[in-house]
Amino acid sequence: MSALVFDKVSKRFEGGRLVLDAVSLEVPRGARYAVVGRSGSGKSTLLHIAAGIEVATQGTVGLFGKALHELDDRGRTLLRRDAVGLVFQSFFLLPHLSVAENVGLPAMIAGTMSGRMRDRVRHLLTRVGLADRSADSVQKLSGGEMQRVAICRALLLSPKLILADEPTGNLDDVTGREVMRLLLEACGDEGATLVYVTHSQELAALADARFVLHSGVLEKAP
Amino acid sequence: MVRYFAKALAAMVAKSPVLYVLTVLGVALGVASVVTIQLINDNAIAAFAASVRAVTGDDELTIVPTLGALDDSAMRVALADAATQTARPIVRVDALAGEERLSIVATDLTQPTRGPLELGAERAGDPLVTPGWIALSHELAARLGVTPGGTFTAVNGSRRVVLTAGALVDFKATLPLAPSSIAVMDIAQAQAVFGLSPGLDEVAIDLLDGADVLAAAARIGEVLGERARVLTPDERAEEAAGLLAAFRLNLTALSLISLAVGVFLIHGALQATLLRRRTELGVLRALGATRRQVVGLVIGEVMLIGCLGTALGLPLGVVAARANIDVVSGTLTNLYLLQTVEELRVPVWVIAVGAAVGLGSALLGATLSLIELRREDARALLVVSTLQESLLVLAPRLLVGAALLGSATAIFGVAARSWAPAGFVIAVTILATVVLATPWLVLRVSRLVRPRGFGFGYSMRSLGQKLAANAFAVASLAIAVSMMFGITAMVGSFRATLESWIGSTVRADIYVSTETRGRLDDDVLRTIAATPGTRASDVLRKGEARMGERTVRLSGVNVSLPGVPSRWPLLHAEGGVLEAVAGGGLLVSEPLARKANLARGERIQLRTLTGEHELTIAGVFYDYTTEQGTMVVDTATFVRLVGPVAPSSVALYLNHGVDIDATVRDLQRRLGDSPVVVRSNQRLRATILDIFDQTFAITVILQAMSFLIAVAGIALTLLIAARERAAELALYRALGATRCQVFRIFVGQGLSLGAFGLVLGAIGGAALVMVLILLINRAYFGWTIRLALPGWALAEQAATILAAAVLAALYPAMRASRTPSQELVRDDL
Repeated sequence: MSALVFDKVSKRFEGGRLVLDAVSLEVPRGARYAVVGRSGSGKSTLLHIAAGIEVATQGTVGLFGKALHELDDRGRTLLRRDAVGLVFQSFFLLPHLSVAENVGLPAMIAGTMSGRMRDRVRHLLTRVGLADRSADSVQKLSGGEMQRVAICRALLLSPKLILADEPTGNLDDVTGREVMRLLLEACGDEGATLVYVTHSQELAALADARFVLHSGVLEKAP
Repeated sequence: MVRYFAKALAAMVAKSPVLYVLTVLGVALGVASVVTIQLINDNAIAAFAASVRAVTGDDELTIVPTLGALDDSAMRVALADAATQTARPIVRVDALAGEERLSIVATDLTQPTRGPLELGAERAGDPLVTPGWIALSHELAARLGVTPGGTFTAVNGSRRVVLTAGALVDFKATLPLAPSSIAVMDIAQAQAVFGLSPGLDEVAIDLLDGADVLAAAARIGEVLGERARVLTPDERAEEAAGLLAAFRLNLTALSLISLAVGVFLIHGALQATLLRRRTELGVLRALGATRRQVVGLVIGEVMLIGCLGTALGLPLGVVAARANIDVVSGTLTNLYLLQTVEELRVPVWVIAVGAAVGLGSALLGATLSLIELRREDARALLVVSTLQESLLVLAPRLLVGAALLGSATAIFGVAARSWAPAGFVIAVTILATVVLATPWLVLRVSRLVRPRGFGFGYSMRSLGQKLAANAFAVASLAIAVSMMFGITAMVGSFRATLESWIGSTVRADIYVSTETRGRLDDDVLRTIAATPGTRASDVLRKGEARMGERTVRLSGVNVSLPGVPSRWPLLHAEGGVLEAVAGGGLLVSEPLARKANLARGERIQLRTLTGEHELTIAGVFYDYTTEQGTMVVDTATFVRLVGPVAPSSVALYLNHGVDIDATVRDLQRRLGDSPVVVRSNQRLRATILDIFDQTFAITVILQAMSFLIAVAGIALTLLIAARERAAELALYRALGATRCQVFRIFVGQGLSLGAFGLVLGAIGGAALVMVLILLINRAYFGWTIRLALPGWALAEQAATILAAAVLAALYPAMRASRTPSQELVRDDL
């Protein structure tokens, strides 16, 4: 069974603008796929539909064998909670929570925070080199450190699919490469499938397969 | 810029209409609370003034006795003055017809009358020749069910008389506020029918056109000497205002607290609006708009909110005043024996005050924001506000300042006991301290919470995030709660003190009195004295005395009744006090002792109708019957001081084992149709407590208004949060939080805001109740109140506050739960 299947998925926003045009894509389990494209080409919308945050206007999306269009909002939310980890360009860390609490947020939401989960938070932070910063406010962190915290948060509940939206977009080149390396390693170690969108051809080259999104049309890059 | 203003405003309202409405509502409720109280205060005074003028017309001067009643010489002095056109003797009689209270003004109707009571030449003799002739207002006649020429029974003291409705008079035609209870009789008829002792209550003087009013007053006053005072109508109204000063001051203070809570609400709303629009304002500055233009834009928006709030608050205040006029009127009648307030007049000055309060509070609420706007340059406006940090830096400094101010006032006001308003300054300092401590406390406590799940703990933890908005919501609720708790605890303590006091003063088994302020006839007294099973009886006589410039009430009782313990709880219990009173000394009530600075053992000079007397204060006793204060002497001393005045009430002590209720019924039967009230001990105690409860009913309205504003503040804060934190909420949704979970988080935040407000308010309320009891009450009323917290009432209020906070959070929570995950594209976490 594939991790993610897009079958002729189209997305039209209010006002009639077509963002995705009959996109088809199949991501095998454990694969690392990259999607590149210009700003406004629909990359983020593609990931949002994959996560069940947005709903396709046409076509079907399968996530680990479950058809997202057959699920209601709650069903998609629970599936996302269980199966998907999200990494964002702007990190989206909560300033009123500490580093460890930001990482533990998915467990709090899922109601599974426990001693074992706290150990896992510590393990993940150790893995990204931030164990000694766990009690700090996230506002004290650098951009690269923030994104490492966001990666830990995405991995906390051991999701089978990580969707990363421009994970290095707000970082300098050196830090971006370091963060991307970390993301790829972590996904490999956790056995998670990774789909990420990026501007960078260099970072896209690290994926098993690359796709180009242009005016809503997805094509496999050579 | 005007066009931009209109477009920006329309967009703002369209984007968040509920938020805008709540802000306007905050101003409206603040204005309404001030307008309500000012209308009630003003109308209480106006009703008194109207009751004076309804009968005497626009007489320029009134002679009133300094003590007891005026004799005929006052009329002669008035008529002898060169400026006098006419002088009219007046006697006031308080009577009861069924359930209707009559304020009878008896005057010389052989003289031609002016004003509303013009009978015409052909009927001029009616008031004198028709037995029991009385002129009534149309409303009173309708309530009594009598038509012109019809008769009805009225009661004064223990005397029942038949009166004839001789004329119906439209007092309100010329004086809209004149109470409908006003009735007019000829003075000779009234004195004969009611068996009144000779003497006048007033002499009303009409001066010649062009006469110098003040000069005439001075001349007449000089001839009359110390036995009477000559007052203009305005001075009479001022006297009533002075009588009500403490009552009005306290009500005004309470309404200002409501207003303060409203200002916080406005501030919170405007701050949020401006924070949201910083970027827009920054862009305007970057595009060339001057600082003045941007500030003008914001002031325009603020003033519009102020105008809308005022437009809504003014009628709301009038409606609230109208709805509560009966309650306040009852309080004023109970406490100060003033005329009832039946209709509400809305003077222009109250409208002006309401408008000033509405616009002023809106501007005050925007002050911080405007200061910040003026300081910020265009670049600074484009970045996220540092208000949170500045608030935290500023608050502790202001807190220290408030503490120093409060301490200084406390030392000055309490230690020196020289400045009565010190209590209010300390109360304001306490409230300011609560406000200033709020941001710090919310931040510290929210950081202490370690959330284990996505529930209440997480909600509390989130409060520290949008600190400025949350702190203002908590602060405004804390002020409202401080006021609620403080007043509830004070009233509860007062009630408990009163109950305890009643226990030691209301000791007789049966009390017989009149419903009007009259005296008991000899027949009635003989019937009461013949009550079987009586072991002792006490009669109360009431009179007045002058002590320097102060008129004091004098009560004459049988101080030493065999087998009856003392009925006067003393401030300093010492032996021999009652013996000293029986030997010619006197007891002074606590309010009088405080206000006149009297102490046990002191010798004081009293002037009564029988002359000058020197008496020794045997003791000071706790008394809650009147804030003006009273003195108690033994019957023999009273007769020596005042004369053989008929008793006002009788207290009977029954032998052990005698059935009190059966004795009450028997006494009522034997008294037949004598219009006296016979109450058992229990019934009298219940009546006293009923009057007490009615007296404080108005405070409930003010508490409710403040509370409503504060709850609106919670709803507003959370609504703002639902908009401001859209990205955060979207993140929760993206990380797998269901709509239900987001809903719960927001309800939890409402509960957290409520809980913070409750805790801070409870601390403020505890401090406030001590100030109310120890300082304000003692300074303005002179009463000692023992602290006795009404646990259940406070617990009910606490539960109501939390429930209201949750209710206020429901709509914002619903809005928040509908935040789409797509909002995550916004880069403003």
